[in-house]
Amino acid sequence: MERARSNGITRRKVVLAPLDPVHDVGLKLIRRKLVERGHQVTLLPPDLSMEEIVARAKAEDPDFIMISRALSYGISELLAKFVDLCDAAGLREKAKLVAGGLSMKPVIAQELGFDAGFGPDTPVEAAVAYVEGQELDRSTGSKRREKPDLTAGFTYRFLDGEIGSLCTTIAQQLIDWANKRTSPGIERARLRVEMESARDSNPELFARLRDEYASLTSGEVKEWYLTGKPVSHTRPITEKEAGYIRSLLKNADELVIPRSQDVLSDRNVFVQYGTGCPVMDAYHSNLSIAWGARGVVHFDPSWGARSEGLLEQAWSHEQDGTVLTLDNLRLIKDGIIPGVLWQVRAHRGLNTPETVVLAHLAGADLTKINIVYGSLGAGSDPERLTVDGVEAMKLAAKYNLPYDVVTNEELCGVPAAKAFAGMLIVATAGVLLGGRPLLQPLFANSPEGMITGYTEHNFIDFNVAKMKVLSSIIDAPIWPGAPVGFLTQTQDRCQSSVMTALHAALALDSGAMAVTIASSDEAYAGGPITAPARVDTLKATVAALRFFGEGGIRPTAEADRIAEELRQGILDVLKQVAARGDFVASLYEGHLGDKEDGAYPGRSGKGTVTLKH
Amino acid sequence: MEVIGFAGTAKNTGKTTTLVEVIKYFAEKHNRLFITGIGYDGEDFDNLTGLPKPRVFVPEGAIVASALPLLKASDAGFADLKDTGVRCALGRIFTGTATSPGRVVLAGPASTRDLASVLAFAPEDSVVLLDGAFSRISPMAIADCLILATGAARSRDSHRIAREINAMDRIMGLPVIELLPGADEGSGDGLLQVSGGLFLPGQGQELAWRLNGSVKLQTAHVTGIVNPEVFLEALEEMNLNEHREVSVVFDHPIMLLLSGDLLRWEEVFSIIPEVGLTVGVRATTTLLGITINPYTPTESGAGKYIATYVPPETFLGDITRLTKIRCTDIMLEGPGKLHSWLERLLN
Repeated sequence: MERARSNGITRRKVVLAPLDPVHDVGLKLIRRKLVERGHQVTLLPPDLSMEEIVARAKAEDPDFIMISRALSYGISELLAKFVDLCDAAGLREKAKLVAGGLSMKPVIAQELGFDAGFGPDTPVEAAVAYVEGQELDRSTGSKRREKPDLTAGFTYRFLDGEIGSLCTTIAQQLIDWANKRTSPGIERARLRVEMESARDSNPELFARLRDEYASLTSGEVKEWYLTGKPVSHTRPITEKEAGYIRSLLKNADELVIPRSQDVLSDRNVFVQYGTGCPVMDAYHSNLSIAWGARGVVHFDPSWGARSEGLLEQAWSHEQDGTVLTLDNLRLIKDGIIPGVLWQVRAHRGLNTPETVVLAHLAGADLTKINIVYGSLGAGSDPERLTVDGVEAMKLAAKYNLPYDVVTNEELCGVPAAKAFAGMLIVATAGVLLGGRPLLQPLFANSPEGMITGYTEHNFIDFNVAKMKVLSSIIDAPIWPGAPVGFLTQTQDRCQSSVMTALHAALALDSGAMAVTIASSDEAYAGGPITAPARVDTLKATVAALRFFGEGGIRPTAEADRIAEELRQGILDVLKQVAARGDFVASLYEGHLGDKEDGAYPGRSGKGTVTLKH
Repeated sequence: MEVIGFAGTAKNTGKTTTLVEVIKYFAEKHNRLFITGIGYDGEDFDNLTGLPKPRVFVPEGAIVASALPLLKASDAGFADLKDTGVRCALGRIFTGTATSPGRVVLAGPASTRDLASVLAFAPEDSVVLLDGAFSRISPMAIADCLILATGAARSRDSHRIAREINAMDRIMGLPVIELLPGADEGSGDGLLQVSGGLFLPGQGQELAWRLNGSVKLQTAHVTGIVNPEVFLEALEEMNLNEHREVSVVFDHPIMLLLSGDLLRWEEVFSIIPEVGLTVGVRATTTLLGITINPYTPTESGAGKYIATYVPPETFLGDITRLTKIRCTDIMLEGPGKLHSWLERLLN
């Protein structure tokens, strides 16, 4: 075998045979790449019989014979016949047979008797890599993933001095205020740390701590700790079900992940899960990862945010999100393909600090904390969530867990300027506490967008304006979500996939560090969230990113005008909050979102904050 | 070591069903089994039609050669894993011994060369079961004997199926003619070596001219694939009266089954006795019997298939009446006849 021209690659003889006239584009692409790399390529005309191809190949004595043909039931027999002819003619003593085309998959190639099969998801480079001796699973599968630090390189320096100064003043005030106070949520977080430390080594201490923990719980959670009665709509995960999860990674090394989806991983596209069932969560996560997702987001049930205390053991919940317990988290983590970023949300309820503890103990890479959204859009008492939120941010800093600060109160109708002011205050507090927050603006057709007309003509300008204003204020990572596309999706799965994909592409084009998407049937899920819908959404997102590529998305001049309006709005809100001098009071009094907007201070946990002794 | 191949005349003709019955038979007899396949088999649903497929269960102690990920995913545990050094489209092929009975998906070597490498791992005292794929038959030349599956998926016309079976029976029954030592070294001493097969128009004429030009010719050895039309072309061009004592020897009957319309061999076999030419093969594989399957997937809308059947009794009855070789429909008649073929083989 010769060495190819100058690149040190063994020069191969390749015969390319299109089996019909309209299916030779792929082969022509492969020919171009192979010739560029110094291989000797013969492209046969498309009108030869199988026997003639065999005879021509015999004359060439190639190392590879690559055929291309769209597959159907009838055609498959012809391909099988071709394989037989090559075998009987002695071509397979030397040559590898490769089939490509629409509908081709490795299992079909195997059944037909080819050495490899490349479908429409396979890039040309994979075929070239195969010719050059790379193992097939490596050439068609995704590269091994390393976990990136989404906050790396960001300084958290304010670029807008006026806003930065106000944020710092307010954040310091809220930290000082919170530092003097405590809550049952903070106590339980402390107890959980001690309990998990004592669980195996000191059963007596564990039992005592657990009793103490139980005394700080409420409602059905308390009843479970005292009587063992399951919380409504839950049932324990069986050992058999847990086994399903544990067996998921049994063959993880053998997984062939379509390389064509790698762009999602490269661009840090996250998928949220939360079927209520850890088994399904693990399966959905791996499905998403197999189709390119860089990370997955654990979505907990809303009732869990309103109850004092978290359960123990592994549970399935028949509605809304997956129960937060250390066992559930560890089970899911055990089933998820390594190398993926895993976010456990802790942003909105009465168990915020403890959730950060569990996230850390279970090995999560990221968490999610926002005092303002949790207080105004998710039902937690502002005073309580401020105390708990500060503690959660301290814990996140201690555990080196970056977290996003989400602004989903926009979905209630809170204007972006107010939501962003709240997000910036909390993020500033996070930085002051030593943490690494990521800004999470809502990328959607928010009520404000509809009412003000920001989204009347397109969905680009308002969202781009959000990115512009945030990146002009502070040098911090921006991770739109969560998930993108709210109120633009419908029950139509195709439409929802398109909207999700376009929003994701827009976010990434506008400089986002990451983006979170949901399955296309999630926005209007009247039933189970299905695997095909997940794949649809992920593939649609790849298609959108491929479509725009480096071409970019061009907003109109409106984007700059809206960005300026947003900056002024943020500034006005911050001045108001700073003038009030009491962040918690501002939450109650509506400076960061009021009843007119659709935001109501939550009542869960009201009256539970106490001064530290 | 006895190698039994399971080939089909088309996809969905019942290879897997036959294989599954044969595995059961040998498991009950406590024969040591070595199981592999030249395609992909044992999956839940067919990759092309989406219809359910028979599953392959292996007994404890059976050695299976399949792509490593599939052995690992099997619910039969596998021990003593050995890398055969052969790769298929689904990964590296390993052999493993089943530590418990269980289901397995077979993805084995696709080529004759790779199959030979994998079969080197079969113990001498084992019965090797070689599962086919589609209508692929070339690697089956390695097998000592063959069970052929055909049926409505090949053609709903029982008369055509019967004619094909008769043609295959005739081909598989061609006499083995030994060539003299040194025959492979080239033409000479009454031997004409013809390499490259007879499967392209013009090759038949070329063979005829070479035969016609040879004096004292006794044997023509044709290596490679043989298409009946091309062979007919040779027969038409030959000066037949001068070759009445000549034997034409092909490599293996399977070489005659790969190219062209199988039914054209009827014409070849009708001409040969008239001209007195002797046709034989250097090596052969015994055809144990034919399994008949009335099932055929039928397309009902774009890309969607439903399972349909021709009337089983009539279909089998017609074929049995019109052929001489052993035939059975396992689902209709049970596995008794199949077992009798295997008993005859073992005895």
